[in-house]
Amino acid sequence: MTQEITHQNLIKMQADLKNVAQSNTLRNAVMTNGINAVSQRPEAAVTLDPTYSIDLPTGDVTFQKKSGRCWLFATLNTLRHDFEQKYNVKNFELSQNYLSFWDRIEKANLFYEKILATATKPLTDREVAFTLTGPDFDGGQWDNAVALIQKYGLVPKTAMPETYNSELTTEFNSTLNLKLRTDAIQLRQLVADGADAATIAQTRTAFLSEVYRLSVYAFGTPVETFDFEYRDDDKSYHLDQALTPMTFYQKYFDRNFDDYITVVSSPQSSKQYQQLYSLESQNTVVEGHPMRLLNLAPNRLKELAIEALQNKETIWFGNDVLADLDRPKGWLDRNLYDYSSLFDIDLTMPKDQRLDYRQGVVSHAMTLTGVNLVEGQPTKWKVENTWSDKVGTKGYFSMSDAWFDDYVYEVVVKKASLTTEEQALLNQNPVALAPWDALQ
Amino acid sequence: MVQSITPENIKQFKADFKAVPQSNTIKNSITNNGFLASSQNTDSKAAMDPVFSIDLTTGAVANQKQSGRCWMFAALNTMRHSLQAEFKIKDFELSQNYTNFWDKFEKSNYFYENVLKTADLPIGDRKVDFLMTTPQQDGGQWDMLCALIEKYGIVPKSVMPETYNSEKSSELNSVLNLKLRKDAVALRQLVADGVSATDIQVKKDAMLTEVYRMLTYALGAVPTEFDFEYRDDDKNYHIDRNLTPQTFYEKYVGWQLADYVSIINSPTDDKPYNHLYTVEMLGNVVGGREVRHLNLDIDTFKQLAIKQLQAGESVWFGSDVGQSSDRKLGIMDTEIYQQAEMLDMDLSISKGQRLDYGESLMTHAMVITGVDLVEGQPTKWKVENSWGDKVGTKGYFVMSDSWFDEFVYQIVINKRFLPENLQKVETDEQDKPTVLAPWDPMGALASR
Repeated sequence: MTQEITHQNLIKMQADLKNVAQSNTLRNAVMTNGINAVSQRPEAAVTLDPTYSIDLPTGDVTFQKKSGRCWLFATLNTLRHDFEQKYNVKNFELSQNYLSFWDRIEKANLFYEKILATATKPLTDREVAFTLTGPDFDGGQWDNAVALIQKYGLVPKTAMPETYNSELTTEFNSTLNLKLRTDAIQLRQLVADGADAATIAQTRTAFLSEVYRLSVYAFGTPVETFDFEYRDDDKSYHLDQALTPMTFYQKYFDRNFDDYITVVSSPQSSKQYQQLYSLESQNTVVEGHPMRLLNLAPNRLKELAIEALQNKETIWFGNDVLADLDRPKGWLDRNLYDYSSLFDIDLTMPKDQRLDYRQGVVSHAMTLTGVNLVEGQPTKWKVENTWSDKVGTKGYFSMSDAWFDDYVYEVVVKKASLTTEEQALLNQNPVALAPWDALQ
Repeated sequence: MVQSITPENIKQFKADFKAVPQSNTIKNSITNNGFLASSQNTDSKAAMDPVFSIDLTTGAVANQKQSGRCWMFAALNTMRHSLQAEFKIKDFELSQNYTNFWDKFEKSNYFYENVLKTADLPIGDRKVDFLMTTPQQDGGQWDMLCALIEKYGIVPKSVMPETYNSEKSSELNSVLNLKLRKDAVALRQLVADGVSATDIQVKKDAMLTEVYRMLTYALGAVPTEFDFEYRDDDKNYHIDRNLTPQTFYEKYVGWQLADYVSIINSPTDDKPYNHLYTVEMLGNVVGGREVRHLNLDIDTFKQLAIKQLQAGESVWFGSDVGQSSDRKLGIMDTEIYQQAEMLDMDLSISKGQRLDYGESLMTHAMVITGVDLVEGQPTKWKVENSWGDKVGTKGYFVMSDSWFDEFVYQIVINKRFLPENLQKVETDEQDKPTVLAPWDPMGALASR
């Protein structure tokens, strides 16, 4: 019993509109200036003043440019802050491009894995279609960065700097994805023809060799040995010769990644608090460090973040940055745009519904570097972004505590900071989430 | 049979890389300049010289700005061409914002109806997820514009000009989609609670009233009666008073929209040629004209486009504009980037495989306004785009015939050019088209 819009409906709607107070004034303002400019609450400037009771010493922000590598930048930011402190070197950067290089090859291998695992399903199957929609891509999570570092180590940015393609990934993405899709056609054909496992494995390795070549073309040759030179903040010169990415990582960094866990807070009825989840489709390094998400109540997410900041650790966090954001000003505040008042329509939506109804997505990763605690309660948070120093306060964003409640979905913390009961949950068999889960 | 990348693999990859001739030189070029600039074929520019044996008279191009209304601009372009010629008003434009207003309004109702239809499916179901991912957006199809015109008519651009939000649609889309999702929660709850259909419709009307308000704020009040003033190319002044959008359409455009049919070329196993198709959950006006596509082989498809151009009528078409094209030069040519040669890799893939494997889909609608026929064979096509006059040749693009073969998926043709047997299929299957899944690539123009 579908219902079309009738002429009578329209007459009534036009009449209703006339009855809304100031509707003509609002129409004039919005038509000319846009919805956001008209509805922004200027009080946010006061709430979000960038002063924090805990404010960790960090340097200049980085710039991911036209790429989706926020997760990698944010991970390397937490590590470089460790390094800057320990070795007294301000504004040091690790090579994002080095890890990008390996990331794309590992993701190609995972794509082949998925194509072979689903080769007998039709192309219209949801899982197959999902895999083919984005064979290889920029995005990722904390655990993906960890898997890469554990397998390939780290290098300073000077050893493998950015290239045209690392700073603008669209051209490489479309060429690589074209190649991967043509490979998928062949792999599915091999399976359909009943080819033996050895032939398939051989074909796959040959394909990977071509992906390697494409990646060298895009990002440069991955560095194998290098000399590390730097001048510290006291102007002393240092030279460390004949390092490999692995010896550099082991020598200069003492984070044990196995000590960390991604804590999420999803109140969806399809998920449970106090439960460990896995996302198999995003274990981008095949047989490497896997993705694990521990779902806890919202207050725990925040308590754990505060505790880490108090212990002087910066924190990787996943969020939906596009919601209630003023990019130039670097503001993140709940109802930064008061749409409900402007339109006289209740436009608030609880977190569980936002995730269920695809309104909320984990669209970005950044780093928490401070918090303002007033009488023990957080009021706002300091955020290191990767969108250059031309936005926000020299690249740092100010996030209200209410925004944290609504739009922060993940924080990465030390397992040791969990309660004993929570730590025990990490030994559970994880519940597998679908590839298209809202937390992907 | 899990297979991880081993150190031995990597050693082999390195050796393979070294064995490729000039691989280091190619690496230098691409890391500095990117894949496109490194492989750009300068011969393509010469071959795509914008001279055409058939070149219809058209005016200045339009600009859709930061919005996804290409389909609307392209359709209104085909209509303004005939209006410009008949009434001698060069560069005249029809209001894209007027049709945009009604499109978003009708799409909201269409979304509500789809939510109700799928209310018994769980959250996380593929169809429900598809609906919620994009409740509405700017895109659309030829048939959808016809449905709007048939119901609401059309107005000159001067009567309902562009606004901040029509030219930059992201803010309106995100707020409207937030509202539609929130309403979806409520509608699903009403169904779950066993509320009567009548009561649900009352709620839905209240929701639509709010949508109407949002759209009026963002896009302006829709005109119901207006005077049309213009000065023609001979400098004569005209005024036509007390028009409505419907009378304006009848008087100044007056096309029999029922005569125009959408023809597609989708060489995939799931769509046999010479049959009519529709796409589930794709449309805007509930109770209005529905999407219908007649799938034909590429030769018949192309001949229809040529026939219509020869008769002096421009052709609305849907394609994947991002492939093998240079936006600034305004060239679409399969030979413009010679990537496979540069990379020494076989990157060939057929048109059908591209669609089946998600490599290509319909992303953009434009208008064909000319073709270069050499010894009866088309070599290149003239395309009116809607990206302003700063790109291409004053906004016009050149499309090679090979690009047409590979990346053009849809054209709109007047029925009178269709052979009798196909006219019969179009009529006979009108009420029983094959229904394609909501995420079919032939629906992409209107759903992303």
